[in-house]
Amino acid sequence: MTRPDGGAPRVDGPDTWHRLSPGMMVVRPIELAPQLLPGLVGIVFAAQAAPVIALVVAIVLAPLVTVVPWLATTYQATDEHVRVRSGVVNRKVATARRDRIRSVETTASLVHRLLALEKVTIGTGGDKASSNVVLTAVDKRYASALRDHLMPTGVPSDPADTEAGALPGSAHPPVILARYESRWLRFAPFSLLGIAAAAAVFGFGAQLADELGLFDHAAEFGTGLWDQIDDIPLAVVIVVGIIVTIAVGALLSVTAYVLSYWDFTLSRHDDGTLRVRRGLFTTTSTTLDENRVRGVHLHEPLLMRPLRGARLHAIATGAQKHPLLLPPAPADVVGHVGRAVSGAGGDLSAPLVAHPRAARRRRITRAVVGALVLSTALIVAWTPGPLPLAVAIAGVVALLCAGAAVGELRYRNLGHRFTDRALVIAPPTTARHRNLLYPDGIIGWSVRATWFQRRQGLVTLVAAGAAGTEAYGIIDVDGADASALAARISPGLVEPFLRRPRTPNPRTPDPGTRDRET
Amino acid sequence: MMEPTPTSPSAVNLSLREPVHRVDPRAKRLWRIVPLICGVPVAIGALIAVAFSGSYRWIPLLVLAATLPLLVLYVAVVPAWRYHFHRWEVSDDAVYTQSGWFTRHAVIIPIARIQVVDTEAGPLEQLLKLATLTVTTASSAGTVKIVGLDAAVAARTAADLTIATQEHTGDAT
Repeated sequence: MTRPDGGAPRVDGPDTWHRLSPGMMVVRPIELAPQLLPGLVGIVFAAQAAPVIALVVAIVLAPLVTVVPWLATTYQATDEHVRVRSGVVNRKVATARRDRIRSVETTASLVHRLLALEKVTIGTGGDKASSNVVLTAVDKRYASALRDHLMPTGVPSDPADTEAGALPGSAHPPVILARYESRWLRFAPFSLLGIAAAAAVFGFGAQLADELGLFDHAAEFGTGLWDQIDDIPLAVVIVVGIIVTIAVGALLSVTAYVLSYWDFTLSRHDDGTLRVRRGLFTTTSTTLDENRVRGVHLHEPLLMRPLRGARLHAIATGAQKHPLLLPPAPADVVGHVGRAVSGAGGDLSAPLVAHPRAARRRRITRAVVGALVLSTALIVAWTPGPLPLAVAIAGVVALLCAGAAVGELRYRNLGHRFTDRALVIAPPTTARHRNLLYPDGIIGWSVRATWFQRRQGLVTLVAAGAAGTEAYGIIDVDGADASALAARISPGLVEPFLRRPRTPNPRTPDPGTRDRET
Repeated sequence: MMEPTPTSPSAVNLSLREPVHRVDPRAKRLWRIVPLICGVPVAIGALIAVAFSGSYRWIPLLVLAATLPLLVLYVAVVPAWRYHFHRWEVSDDAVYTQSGWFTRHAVIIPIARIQVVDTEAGPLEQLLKLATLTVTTASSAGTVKIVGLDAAVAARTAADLTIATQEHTGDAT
């Protein structure tokens, strides 16, 4: 019953089922290692007390995580669906209907690669992770054949596509839109992830050392060291601590960047798909149907602004809501890829329409109120005696200034812009985000206003779509501008509900309902 | 980086009109009953506690002081406020609704993109012969709930919408 792996994907009949590669028996326990570790440790400890019983337990349990799951898991890929049956006690059937498949991702860990296997994750439009269908380990060649077979999803929109689909690989070679360059590495240290990872590693290390009683052994040495530290001024200790954390964080960030994005390649294929391949040890290859991409998302973290670096994601449905299009990369590459993917990428960096002054007032008010609350809390919680008045005032003023600056920054990042091809939405965040949506991906509109917003004539206009986060809000825009914008983007949908006297000109068809059905 | 807001002539005084229909007036009763059911027992409990709690009297008094104004607000003011704004309309092409009181919320979704239409009525709604109409699209932000419709109106609207939806093919995403 094991699939004769490799070659062209055979279309299975409704009763044909295949086993995954026997390699699954190796791959799965390693994947589940974190969950299995406690049991393993238990068995090792038990072996010291009662070796025979432990051996018997191990012999009984080992097949339960290796052979049994492999025997119990079968899959089929028919014309209608891809289906995976698994489980012994709880039988589980995961089905991905062909017409609901939105993305295919293949990943290969080091173990997978040694065995020439790949894990295939098939993403449907569902909201939950459980709506993905996963083939844990199949032959590498079968995985790519299956991907090519599944991937141009849905109905081809015109005859030219059908021809291209019928003759896979016959026409032009894939176009490389972006490829990893070592100069991209300079953005890696400017990610907070590395610092967070450094802190986590320190925390974990300290905990582990504590568990192992290392602290007791080191106490004597530590006390000596502490006495030495005690002699150094506090400020120096803090500065050195911060520098060390940042340095270790930067190092970890660079390592993580290399591990994840080594050999990053974004390419466009003839069958209308975009493919992202990346990874040093664990390789990942994601395939997206361009017809299912509803926009792009630009993220420019605050620390990367001076270096003009940004990351780019697609707004799509499938296994991921915002699949990666570019890791942190230079602005010119981001602009190039944005234009290539959306066909309107110039809009990503183009100036935006600023929102009314009241929007700035709201940002600053919030920041100042936040700063006041924080400073009150800090003053109240200040334990070593009463705070000198001058220090308290200086602290509050500093917090207020910082708050106002953050508020101003958030207002400056806020904006929107509509060209005929795309709607660009920039939320008020400290990092710069820009969501570029295609009008035909916008299903409907919603207008939200709190009592505070209404008093200042502002609303939040939300573009509802099926892709990405499904709701992209234009925050604190003027009420009349909001309805005018919605009416401009979806005239057929919104115009009948406008207050102004109806113009006699014929109604333009609504982009929400016309053209390609998707 | 920013340019000033352009005010094109067509953008002046362009705003959404209200949907045509109000929800059923009995909805006000529904909106009043729920806070009564939740708030009155709390208030009575607090009153009893005031009588028996001696020197800790301030705790139930505080609860009472918080509950009573909220109860009055939610029973006397909010239902009318909400009823004033709750409106709905189904045209040939779209569903348009308004809801909320402190945060107001208007949604327009095209009938072509509707995936599921259903009505539901909890025990209180059944008692008042009301129903809630839910219209779902592929977007979580494009989902509409019309609360407080007359049960018959809700059923008829749901049936009409279902027929209208079936005229459109495609997977509505």
